[in-house]
Amino acid sequence: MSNATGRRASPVLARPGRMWRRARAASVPVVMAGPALVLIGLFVVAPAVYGIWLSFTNKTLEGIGALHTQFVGLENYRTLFTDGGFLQSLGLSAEFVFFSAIVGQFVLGMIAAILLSRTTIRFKGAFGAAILLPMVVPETVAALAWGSMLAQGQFGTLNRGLHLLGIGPVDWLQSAPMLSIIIINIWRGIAFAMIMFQAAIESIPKEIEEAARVDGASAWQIVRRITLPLIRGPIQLYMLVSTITTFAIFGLVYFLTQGGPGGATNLVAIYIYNYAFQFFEIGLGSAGSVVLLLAVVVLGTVYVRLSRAEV
Amino acid sequence: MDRQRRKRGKILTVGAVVLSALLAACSSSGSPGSSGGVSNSTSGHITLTLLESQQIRAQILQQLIPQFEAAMAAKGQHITVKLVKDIVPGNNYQTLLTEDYNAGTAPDVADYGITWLPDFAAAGYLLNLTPYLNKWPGWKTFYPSVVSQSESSDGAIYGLVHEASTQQIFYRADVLQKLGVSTQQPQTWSSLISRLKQIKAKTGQPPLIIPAGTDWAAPEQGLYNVILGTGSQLYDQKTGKWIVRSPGITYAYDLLATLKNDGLIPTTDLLNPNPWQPTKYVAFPKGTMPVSFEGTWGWQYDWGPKGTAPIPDLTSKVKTWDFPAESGSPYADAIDGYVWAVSKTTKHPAAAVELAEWLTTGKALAEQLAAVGAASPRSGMDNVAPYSNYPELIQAEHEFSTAKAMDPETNQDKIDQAFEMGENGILTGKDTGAQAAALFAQQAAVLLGSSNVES
Repeated sequence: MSNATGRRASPVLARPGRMWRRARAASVPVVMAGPALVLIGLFVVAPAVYGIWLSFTNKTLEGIGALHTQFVGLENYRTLFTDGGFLQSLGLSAEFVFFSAIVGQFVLGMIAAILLSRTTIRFKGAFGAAILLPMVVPETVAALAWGSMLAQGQFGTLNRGLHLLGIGPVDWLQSAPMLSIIIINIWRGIAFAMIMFQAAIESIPKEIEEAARVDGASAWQIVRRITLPLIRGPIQLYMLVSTITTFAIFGLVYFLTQGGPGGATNLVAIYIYNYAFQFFEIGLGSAGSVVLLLAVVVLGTVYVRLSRAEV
Repeated sequence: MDRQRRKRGKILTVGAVVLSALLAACSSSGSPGSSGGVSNSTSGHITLTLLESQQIRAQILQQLIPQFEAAMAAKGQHITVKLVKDIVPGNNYQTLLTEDYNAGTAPDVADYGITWLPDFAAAGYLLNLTPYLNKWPGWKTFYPSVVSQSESSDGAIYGLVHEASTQQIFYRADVLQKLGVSTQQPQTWSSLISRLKQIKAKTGQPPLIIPAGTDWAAPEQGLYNVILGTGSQLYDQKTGKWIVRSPGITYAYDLLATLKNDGLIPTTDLLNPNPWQPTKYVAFPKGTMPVSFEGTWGWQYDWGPKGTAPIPDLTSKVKTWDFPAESGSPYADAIDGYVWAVSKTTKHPAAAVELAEWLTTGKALAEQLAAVGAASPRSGMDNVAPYSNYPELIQAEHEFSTAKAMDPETNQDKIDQAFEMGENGILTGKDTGAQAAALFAQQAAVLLGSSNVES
C-alpha cells in the first residue's frame, strides 16, 4: 500500500524506474538470444554471405587463381547452366529426393507409425528399435555396411543369399546404382518419419477413432478419413524437413559410389564437392551451392504456402 | 542504471573473452595436418614437421628421422623432426594438403607426387629451392630428365625429386606362357590387341588393366602413355597453352574405345570406386588379368614381398614390355616422381631444405627407394644398399635416358580431370573415341578458361 501511495505521490521519480524495468524487460530476449545470434552470424550467415561472394569470383585453391582472385560476375553461373553435368546432377537429386524421401520414407514411416500406435501389436519395442537403429548408426558405418551388403561378385552378403537360391551374382551398385542408393536412404530415413508420424498419431484423441469404429468404419477408412487429415500439419512439416535434408545428402552416397558409375549417382552435393574440393574450383563450387540453396528455399516456400501452416 | 550497464558490459566482455578462448582452443586442436605448420624455435632448437600420406613411406621415415637428428646434432644443429602421418588415399590427401596450404597451416616439408607441384607452386604455396640446391653439390648428380620434370614454368625448382619411376606394361609371363601367348615385345598396339584377344578367348575375362576414368583418376599412368607414342604433347611450351585437340588425343581415346568395345578391359571395375582394388590387387596377383599398365613401384609397393598384394617369386613371374607404338618403336615413359616440397610459410627454410637434401642422399635415399620400389633420380646409387639389391629398379633408372616424358605443367590437375571425363564417356558407352576427344576439349576449356587452351 505504501509503495502504491508513494508511486502516486511522486510520479516524476517513478518514471526512471519504470523505464529501467521496461528496458530491462526488452533487453532480456536480446541477452538470452545474443550468444546464439552471434554463433549463427559467425558460423551460418557469414559463411553463407562469403559463399555468395565467392560464387561471383574465379577463386581456386591451386594454380594462379589462388593468388589472383578476380570478380567474374555471373560467369560461374553461366558455366554451371551450360555444363550439362550440373543440370544432370540436379535432375538426379530431384529423382533421389522424390523416390527416397517423399515416397519411400513417407510411406514406410507412416505404415510403421500406424502399426506401432496399435495397442494390439506385440513386440512393439523390438520392432521400433529395429527401425530406429539405422538412424543412430553413423553415416560412414551405414555406407560401409551397405557397401559390404551390395558388393559385387560372391563377396557381397546379398549375392551370397542369392547364390543359395541359385541366382547368379548381381553387381547392384553397377547395374542399379540409383535404385540402390534410394533403398539405402529409405532404410536410413524411415525412423525419422516414423517418430514424427507416431507422435502426431498419439496426439489424436482416441474417442474420435472409437466413435468411427462404432459407426462401422474400416481400419483403412479410419486411416484415410481421420488419421491422415488430422496429422496433415506434421506430414507437411516432415515433407519440408526431409526434402531439404535429402537434397543435402552427401556422405552416404559418396562413400558408396562417389557419384558413379559414370555419373549415375552424381547428386548435386557430390557435384559441388567435386568442383570445390577435388578440382579446387571454389568459385564454381560456391555458385553450385548458391543454386542449391535457392532451389531448397523455393521448395520450402512452396511447402509452407501449400500447408498454410506456421513452420 | 550506469552501474547496471557497466555490469552488463562486463558480463558481455567476459562472455566474449570466454567465447574467443573456446574458439581459439577449437582451432588449435585441429587435424594433425593442420597443426603441421607449428615450428617452435626456443634457444636454437628447431622443430620441423614432415608430412607423409603412405604407410610404407612413413615407416621408413620413422626409422630415418632419428638418424637425421643425430647427424644434425653432430654438426651442432639441434633439430627435431615431427612426423605427421595423414594416411589417406591420394585424392583425399591432395584435398587435405591443398586446404592446409591455403590456410597457411601446412607442414614444413611434405611428400607427394611431382604432378601436383606446378599448381602448388603457381599458387605461391612453396618455397623456391633453387638457391639452396645450387649450393648443394648433390644437385649436380640428378638426371637432367628428372630436373626438367621438377622445373617450374618460371625456371625455378619447387620440389626435390627423391623417387623416379618409369611406366611400362607389366605382364604375367607365367600365365601367358601357360596360355601359349607370345611374350615377345609387341611392336604396335594392333599386335598387342590381337594378343589380348587370344588371352580373352582362353580365359573369358578382360585381360588388360589400364588406369582410366574419373575413379582411377590417373591418366598419366594410362592414356597419356599412348599419346606420347603418337608424337603429340598436351602442352605447348612455346605458347604456354594446353593442346586439347590433336590426332594423338583422338588416337588414344579411339584405342580405349576399341579396348572397351572388344571387352579387353575391366569396364565395370573402372567405373566403381577404388578400381585398382579388384584389378591390380586381386586379379593381377591371381593371374586372371595378366597384363597391366604399371610403374616401377609395382616391384615393391604393389606386388613386392611387403607390398599391398604380394606376388611370390615376383621377378620370375612378372616381366615388362615397353609401350608399343604405331611407328614400331616401343618406348618407356618416365613419369611420376615423388618430391619433397617445402612450405613457403616455414619458419626454418634452411633446416627444412637440409632435411629434404639429407633424405635424398646415400643410404637414407637407398632405403626409401628399396622400400617403395622406385628408381633413383640421381646417379651414383647403383652400389648403395639396399637399393643395389634390386636390379629391376636399377634397370628402370637406366631407362631414363631413352624414356619419353610428359612434364607436368600448371593446371595439370584440371587437364587431367577433363581428360578423365572423356575417358568416362567411353567407359559408360555414351561416347565414341572422337566424341570423347571433343568432350575433353570442351571440358578443358570450361575448367581452364578458353584463353589457356589452344583451339
